Amino acid sequence: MPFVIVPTLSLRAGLLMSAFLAAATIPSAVLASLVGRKIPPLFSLPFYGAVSTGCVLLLRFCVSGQALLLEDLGVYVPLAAFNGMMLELALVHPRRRASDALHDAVMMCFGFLLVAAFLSALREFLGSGSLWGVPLTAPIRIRGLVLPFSGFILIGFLSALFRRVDSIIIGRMLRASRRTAKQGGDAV
Amino acid sequence: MKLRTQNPPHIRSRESNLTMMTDIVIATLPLYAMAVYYYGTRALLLGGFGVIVSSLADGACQLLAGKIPNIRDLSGAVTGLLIPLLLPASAGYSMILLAALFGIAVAKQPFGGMGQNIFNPAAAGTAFAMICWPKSAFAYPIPFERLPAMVDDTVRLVSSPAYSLSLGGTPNIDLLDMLLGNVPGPMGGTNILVLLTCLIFLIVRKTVGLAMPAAFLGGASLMALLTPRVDAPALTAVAYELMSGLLVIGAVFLINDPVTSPKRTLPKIFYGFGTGALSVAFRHIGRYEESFLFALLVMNATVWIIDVWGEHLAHAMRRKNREFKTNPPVSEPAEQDVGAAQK
Repeated sequence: MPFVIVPTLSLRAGLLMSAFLAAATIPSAVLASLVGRKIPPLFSLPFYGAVSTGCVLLLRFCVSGQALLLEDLGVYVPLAAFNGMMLELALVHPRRRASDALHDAVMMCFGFLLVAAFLSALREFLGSGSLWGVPLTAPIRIRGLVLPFSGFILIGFLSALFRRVDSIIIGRMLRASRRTAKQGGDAV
Repeated sequence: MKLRTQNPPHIRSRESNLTMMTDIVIATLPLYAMAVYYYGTRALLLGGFGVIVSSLADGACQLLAGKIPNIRDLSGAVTGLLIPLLLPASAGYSMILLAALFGIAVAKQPFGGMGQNIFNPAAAGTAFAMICWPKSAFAYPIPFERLPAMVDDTVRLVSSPAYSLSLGGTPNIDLLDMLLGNVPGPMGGTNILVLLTCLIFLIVRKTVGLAMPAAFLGGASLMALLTPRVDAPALTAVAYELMSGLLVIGAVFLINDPVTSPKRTLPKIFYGFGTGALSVAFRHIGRYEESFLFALLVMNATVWIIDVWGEHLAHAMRRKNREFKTNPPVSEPAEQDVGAAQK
């Protein structure tokens, strides 16, 4: 969660953070599915950590021209090499098929990207009065949004919103299945 | 003894949420009257706007939570009345709006609503407004300069005595003026005499107790005495420290919140003393000229542990008292008595 809250003060920073997390997570997850249990558990953490670190360093080299953005991300770039998604997919739940592992990793990173993009765009627009570095006239400037505590509060509300939507969808599915079961029972 | 069966509740009190909140609403009316006297009808507009926004936000959040909206307990209205009193009379309506929304939708309703919130909603909302708009939150109009309904750049705004203290200087204001409220400052925070009258009213009505406000002001005074910020006699420095900023209005309205304060008397004293001392300490090291709200929110977060300690202490004292009553200490007989008994 700190990855999506603390460094994502602008849309560009949010997207770059997502890219670093994807670079750390996807190769490690795919490699874990190919290697399987051939690596002893004792060596799996340093091995996959090294793989993700290498990928993060490679990406950092590619974007080395964005010095200001990298400075904004700060310590979260090296921390991205050991993020929770990578640890879960590579160490805790390695997938047997490479396609499944790739699918899981890509969807997780895509979800992170959506949340990071939304949060960073909102905080940049309302907090700094710009979007993608372009100054814009926001209806109201709320400088408190650029502070970390606002990010945690926004994440909490987003989470509540998604849980509410989830419960509505599940409720409808349950009612539909009960209706179907009742109709089937009546037919019998 | 004749026993009579009756359905519960068996213990009734005249106090309820509605009576307590009504007392607080009544206590804020003199402050609004003084604000209208100093700044014009804009003070009333801000108060009314705050009440409407807070009440609507309260009702909307309860609806979203699947509950029946209950704004008749006036808790939302109290929040809406207190927020403008903690801010300048020149505060924008958007500032009041966001402060009220933050206080209700972030600090109150997500924790369960009335009776279950951890943080004081008015303090949380006002603190958020101060963080978002520090320049507007700490620039005050001059008393007796009538403010238009919509404040523009033509309104003259000045700093308060708290700002002078934060720079290490002595405010160029008479202490009597500070007592009467004839100084730039928060809309409801400058009328010290009226605030003390409101406190007496609330104590007489038994809506609040004396322990917490007294401990709070005592803690703040002690801290101000030990670490004065101005080059003045000790009592003068303490008086300047107490009468500037939000300390007195906090002692009357915010620290006495029955939901966010401890339950027993000794924890209340500890809580009040700690909040007062922390408020003055934050004034030394904090970024803003007024840090009482942040100190209050920090202490709100510790109330649960203060309550636990308070319960342990109360049980220990009760146990000791019971042991003392059942086994009173026996005094050792004198040597002469022993000798006489043996003979």
